[in-house]
Amino acid sequence: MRRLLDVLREACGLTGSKEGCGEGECGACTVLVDGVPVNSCLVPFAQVRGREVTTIEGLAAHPLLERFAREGAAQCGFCIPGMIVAASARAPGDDPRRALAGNLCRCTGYTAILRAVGEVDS
Amino acid sequence: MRGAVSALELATPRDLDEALALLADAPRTPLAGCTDLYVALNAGTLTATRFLDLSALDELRGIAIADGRLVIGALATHTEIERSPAVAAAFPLLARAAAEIGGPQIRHRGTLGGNLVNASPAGDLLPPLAVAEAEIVA
Repeated sequence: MRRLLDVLREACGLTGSKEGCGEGECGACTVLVDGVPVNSCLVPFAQVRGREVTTIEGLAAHPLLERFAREGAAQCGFCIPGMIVAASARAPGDDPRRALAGNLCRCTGYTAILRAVGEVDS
Repeated sequence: MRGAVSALELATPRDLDEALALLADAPRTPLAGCTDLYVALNAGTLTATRFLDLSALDELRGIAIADGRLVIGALATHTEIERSPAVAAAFPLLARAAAEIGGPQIRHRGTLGGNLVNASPAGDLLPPLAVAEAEIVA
């Protein structure tokens, strides 16, 4: 019943995914499982057998990173990996606010984040 | 709590027959999306130590209209319910309720069965299902 988040951070050394709440409210732990964004703090590691897990480390070349940097979307940065992973799964044309509804930020007020996300497919 | 969860047992049946045999063999708590389960474990309100992973049981998936009835499998996720053409046609209120649950990350994992069995007073699918006099089929 070990959590996917802990296996990623502790066994794999992939510390980009963060534990912000441990209860699926904040989205800081967001990863993609077969391309679908989920809270890794709520996934038993056993359930990803045979599946593809993508962390923020796997999105290092994604155009969103440059958008986030350009818009100054990060302050403390803690929410940012989860924000980028969640935003990366947004279908073109889908409302950015809805795509990020599961990702909380305590610093920024979201404006710069939404600008960065909204621009990607324009 | 991480030390505690690694001591818990998770059985992973490959089909429904194996799952039912495991349940008959020993008390095990079924799980699927785990969006309520880990919260309860962390809070200490769930003290079970043996779990049964339903997520491989394709027999429990699917949303379809059959014999004039909308049939939704227990493993249908809130995202699947939200996006289902069958639900949109037969029971759009349920899709609206599913769309309100949590955020995308929760909706991609949480299930109809979990929402029912968790029986939270805040369970979003419960009022539409009650209004529609939905039947649980074993």
